[in-house]
Amino acid sequence: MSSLTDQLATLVLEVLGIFAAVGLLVALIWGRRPRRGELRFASAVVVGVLAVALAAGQISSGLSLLNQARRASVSAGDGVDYCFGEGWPGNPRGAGVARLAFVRWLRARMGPHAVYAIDYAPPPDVNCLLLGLLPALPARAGERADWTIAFGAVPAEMQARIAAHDPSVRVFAPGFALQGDQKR
Amino acid sequence: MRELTGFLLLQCLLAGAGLGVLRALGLLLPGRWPALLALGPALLTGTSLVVVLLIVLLVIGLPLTLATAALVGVLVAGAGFALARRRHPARTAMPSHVAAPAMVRVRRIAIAVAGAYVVIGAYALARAPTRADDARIWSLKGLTLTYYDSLRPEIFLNPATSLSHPVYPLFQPVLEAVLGRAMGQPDLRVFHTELWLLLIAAMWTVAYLMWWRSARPLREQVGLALLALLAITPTVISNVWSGYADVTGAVLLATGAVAMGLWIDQREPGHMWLSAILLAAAANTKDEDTLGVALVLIAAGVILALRRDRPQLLLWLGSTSVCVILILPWRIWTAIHHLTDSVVPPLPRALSPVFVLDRLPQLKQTASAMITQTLAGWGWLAAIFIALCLLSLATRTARSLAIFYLLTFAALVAALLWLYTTTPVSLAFLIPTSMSRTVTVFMALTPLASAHLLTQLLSTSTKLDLEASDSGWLDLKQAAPLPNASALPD
Repeated sequence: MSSLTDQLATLVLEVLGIFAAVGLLVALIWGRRPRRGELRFASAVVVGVLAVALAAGQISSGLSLLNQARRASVSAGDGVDYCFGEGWPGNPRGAGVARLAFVRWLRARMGPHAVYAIDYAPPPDVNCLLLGLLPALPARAGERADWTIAFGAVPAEMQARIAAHDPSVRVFAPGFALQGDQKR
Repeated sequence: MRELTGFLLLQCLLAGAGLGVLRALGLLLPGRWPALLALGPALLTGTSLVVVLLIVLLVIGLPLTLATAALVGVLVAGAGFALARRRHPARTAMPSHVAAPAMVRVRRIAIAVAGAYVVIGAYALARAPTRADDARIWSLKGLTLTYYDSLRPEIFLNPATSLSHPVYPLFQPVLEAVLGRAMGQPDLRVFHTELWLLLIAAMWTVAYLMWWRSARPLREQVGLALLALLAITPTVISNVWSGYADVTGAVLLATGAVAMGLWIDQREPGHMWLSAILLAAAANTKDEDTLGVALVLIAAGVILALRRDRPQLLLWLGSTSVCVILILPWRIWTAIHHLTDSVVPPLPRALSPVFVLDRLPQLKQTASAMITQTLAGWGWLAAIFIALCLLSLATRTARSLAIFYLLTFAALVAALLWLYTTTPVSLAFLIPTSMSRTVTVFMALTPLASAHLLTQLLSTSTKLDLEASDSGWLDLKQAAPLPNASALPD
């Protein structure tokens, strides 16, 4: 694998370059075989200068990235919902952003600390959706939910209720609805 | 305003706990000036210990509330200061070094520039969005723990989240939850600033332990440039900006390793106990770091065994036990609940050399990607580290230390190679999505360990005059032992 060999060679050359610089410094200053203390001193000087040069050269990249971060600032709400618009397995090309309005609508309807059951079809990916719906939690197996959410897929029972104009079901858009399960 | 006050009060609580621990460990003298000088190490130590203790309490069923966090912080601080009063009652003067006025000016300018950079970073990262793995792994758990005070099975045991590393430890989520509670309402954006402060605190800790605590002359502090590289490397900043745990775990691991290195070098038990705290925090951050902590401890054990140093070996055993005790609770909890990780290699089969050799193409692919990321993302740091280790060995400067760092580095690289080579997950997916981050586990060690070795080279080259012996290339066996550097048996 030539690329691996090339990369290893680069690393080895860098190390040898440092040794060569130490040798050169010793030759320039003392002009003979160095004593141990001299070699230590020369090594420290070479590495110290290299470190300072690297740090000085890198500062602009670091500041530029921090500036980029500052310019990409978001509000607290947008910060949590950012994953809906982000390309991810289960959320191709950030398609979940189209469903963000429904998630915000759900949060307003359900209130905090609600327990929900969900019929869900991506996007977004499930973890992003769980984060977006917090502090509401999905119902555990066997636990009764306060709400049933149709998220891209409407269960048959909810479809029947919608058809019967049941007031406990609120439809946000075709395929997206919320059913109150009357526990409150 | 409430958010900012809460944020600052939490930092005070954590730093207070850290100051207590540092005093108890004998790493901090009484007084205002030493405390100010140790604020960074105190924040790192306090955060590490308080959060790890909160994880233990959370796992055994105690609620994670602001009151619990405050109680733990106050207890740690109180116990630390009480222990310090019993063990180090004498008020000792801070060692001082009289610097030339020009040097004083250089120092002031450096402090001003570094301070401005830290503030700029904290401000720039304070409104970063929650994205990628942060949203799916870390902040999902962190926000759950902010709203609820226990490990809610709806999130922590949800089969739907089984692909997003449910076994990953809780250091970041618990810290995020405590921060959210302290601020009065969750604001996930500000957590990036907390991670930034931890990174800075880690570098400050290394500088404090190596130079500032003992007021070493400024010329020996050129290694500060190496430490600074950690905070200005785009790979590192990018990771903190993303809210990932790679940098957090790696800097805790690296700082713990350097504290261990200082103990190996100077035999001051405080360094070793500090190392145990930092390593326990690292092991509670990410799986790679848990493995890394085991390797750091083993490398230290090997050095002590080679020295045949029984008292130090016993101390090492003690600190290792503390580390294990602080790591186990979360691991037991995940085992009880049968949580697994899809990327974990099939054990014990993956330990067999035959299994690894059967996957030679994966090994080459991993090695290639690893070196590419190391060279592209971290510049000359790997070369500097390797060169410094070899130069230290060649000049008989702190050989134990150089061997310890080399062993640790090699073991971390080998462990990561093994993890990628043997994982059942496709490398076509795993390498592009994770390698640029995971190399941090060993690369974060390089600037910190290099700074330590560089200091040794500088201090010994100035202490042992240039040179008592006239024999040109020295006969290594006749060389005088170095101060603070214990030689391995030949």
